[in-house]
Amino acid sequence: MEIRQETINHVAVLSLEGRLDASSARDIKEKVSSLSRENRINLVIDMAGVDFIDSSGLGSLVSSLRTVNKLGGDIKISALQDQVRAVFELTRLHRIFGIYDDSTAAAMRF
Amino acid sequence: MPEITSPARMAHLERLIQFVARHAETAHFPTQRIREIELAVEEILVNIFSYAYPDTTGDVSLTCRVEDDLRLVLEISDTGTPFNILNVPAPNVAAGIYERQVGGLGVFFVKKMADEAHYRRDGDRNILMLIFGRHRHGAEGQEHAGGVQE
Repeated sequence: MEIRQETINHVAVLSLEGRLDASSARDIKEKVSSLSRENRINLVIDMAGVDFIDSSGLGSLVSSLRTVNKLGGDIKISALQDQVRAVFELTRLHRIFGIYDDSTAAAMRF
Repeated sequence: MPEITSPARMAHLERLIQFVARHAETAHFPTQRIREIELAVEEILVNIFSYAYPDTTGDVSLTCRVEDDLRLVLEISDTGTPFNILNVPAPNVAAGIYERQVGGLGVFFVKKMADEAHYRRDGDRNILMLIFGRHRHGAEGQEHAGGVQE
């Protein structure tokens, strides 16, 4: 999985590319932990490039949200593809994460 | 029936999933349904890779057939620790962020995506049979519907 980082509206935006699954879940958790140590706790995770997510991938997002929530931050999610959106809805994570059409819209909500 | 056997290791995951996906593609299952089948197969395989052989290494075997272009019938077997994955309790997906279990969603997905799921222990083998129709039950009204009945 490739993780690209940029800043929009002073918010770190992580753009993921590839499958967010058992083999890549740790990458995202480590990236969010690393950012939180720099006190970057308001994040957008852009999923436009993610065409597949499994339970491990979801677990990494939940775990990352807990990490930043404890520090007073938040994670917003943008640009879900169909398979990923279906999985979010099945597990009702769309009610826990703020979901936005694109990363700019998500970053502007902080 | 077409069969593939491979060491139960993550390095072989994609090849095993592709084996199943090819059968669904050949039968012209909708793309979204193929992604759902891949998700279920992935969850089962990762579980086997992670837990079936705690003190040793072993194989996993898949057999797959499509009946009348309507139902994909898949059997996943291993010779690891006896374990009926279908007995894993359903997670509470209505829980808030701090009450949620981070794990446990894999079997939930399997039960949601498959029309039928049957486990049996045959000699030294765990055998899980999963049956997928061309469309997921209740996919239209998603949040509370579909899949294997509890």
